[in-house]
Amino acid sequence: MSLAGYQRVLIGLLVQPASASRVARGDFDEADLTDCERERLSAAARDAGVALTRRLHEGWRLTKLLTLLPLTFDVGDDEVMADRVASFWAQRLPTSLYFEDEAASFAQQVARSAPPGSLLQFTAEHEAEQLATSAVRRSRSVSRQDSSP
Amino acid sequence: MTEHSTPVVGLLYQPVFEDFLVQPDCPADYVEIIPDTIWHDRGADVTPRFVVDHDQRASLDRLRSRLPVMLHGIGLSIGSAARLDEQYVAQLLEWVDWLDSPWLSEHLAFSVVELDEGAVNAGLTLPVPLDDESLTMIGARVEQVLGGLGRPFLLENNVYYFGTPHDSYGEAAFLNRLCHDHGADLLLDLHNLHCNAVNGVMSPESYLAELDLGRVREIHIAGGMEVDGFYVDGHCAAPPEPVWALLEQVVPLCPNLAAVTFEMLGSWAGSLPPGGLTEVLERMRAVTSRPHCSAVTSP
Repeated sequence: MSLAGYQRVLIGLLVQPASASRVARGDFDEADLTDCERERLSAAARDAGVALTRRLHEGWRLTKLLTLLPLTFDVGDDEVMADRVASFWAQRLPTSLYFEDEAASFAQQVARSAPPGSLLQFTAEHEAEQLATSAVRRSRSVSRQDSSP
Repeated sequence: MTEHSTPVVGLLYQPVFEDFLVQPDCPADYVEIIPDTIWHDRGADVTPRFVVDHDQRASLDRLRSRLPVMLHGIGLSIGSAARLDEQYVAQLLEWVDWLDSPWLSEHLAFSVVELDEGAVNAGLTLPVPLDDESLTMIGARVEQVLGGLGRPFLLENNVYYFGTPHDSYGEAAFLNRLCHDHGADLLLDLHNLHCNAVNGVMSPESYLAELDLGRVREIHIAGGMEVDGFYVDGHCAAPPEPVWALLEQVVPLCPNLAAVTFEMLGSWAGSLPPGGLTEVLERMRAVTSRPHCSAVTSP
């Protein structure tokens, strides 16, 4: 189904920015795209509106991390944290509307790479544990059916 | 002249608005909720997949004790080519029934693709190509949702920050086909339309002249902001004057309009002056309650 391939490449332009220059040149991973879809995607890769959409996507995703890990981002140096986020995202795709797992993984990665004994390491470990606790609590949550009148 | 009943006015739920919504003199007639922000979707391979923690459930019950609830989804991704998430559809339908929402609304868009390593969710309403392939796929899904819904299913016009070359339809014509051939109804987001106008994507006049306004049951209004030279649907402010002007223009032309909702993110609530929410809702009511000479004529 070529529409599925078209959509995969289009979302790739947002979540894997490195693909944009390749797609703009007409170099696609998807084999079964129609000529029309190839033209649409090459145009999209050069479109300022797609760059804006990528920024909106990244802003949405970053807001989730900032909300779930406020202390880690408060303690960490802004530029260093931005680099850590970028390298983390390069290895991990956004999978849902919920970011607790992503935030926990990021906090664990920060804790592993922070200087041993540093406040950043302690803070990231602390917030990762908090998220793990929340996940356990959520697993004991009620479903709608269990609690409806 | 055909008379139509006065549309009700409501507010999109954000936790920071909860106290406002439950106060006795709140001017909202209903609250619209995004169910994806109330339940937690733990993934298709987890049972139970959808859970609601006690605090969220208590908030929802508090709201329901005061106001009718309408459901506005963001997670259906009806334009995803790979598949429609059947478990998600079942969950939506169950909540519509449970909360007795008068309809279900969603976006004419896709946000999810399937890769070998699993689903990827962009978290944005991305445009589908407006061609016959999309029309056939989305039309069938509209019929599938309607089959289990037992009440109207509204699709919302999208905001477009980039174009799709060689579209076969304009969005208004595409939505008209989904209404006439497949039974959808419409949620007309006037701020999306305003964004598209400011960004040079479409003319509101032409769009509204082509769209079947008889299928519009709900209108959304909101405010936005400038980012990188674009005007963005940020839900971050009171509606700007051009959106109010569109509302004034459109309400009399929508004979089946039943509700107008103000959307604003809670994180921007502080940007409104004291009493700002009340002011917006009262202005909405002033527009919707004005006696209108409908453009629709009686048969």
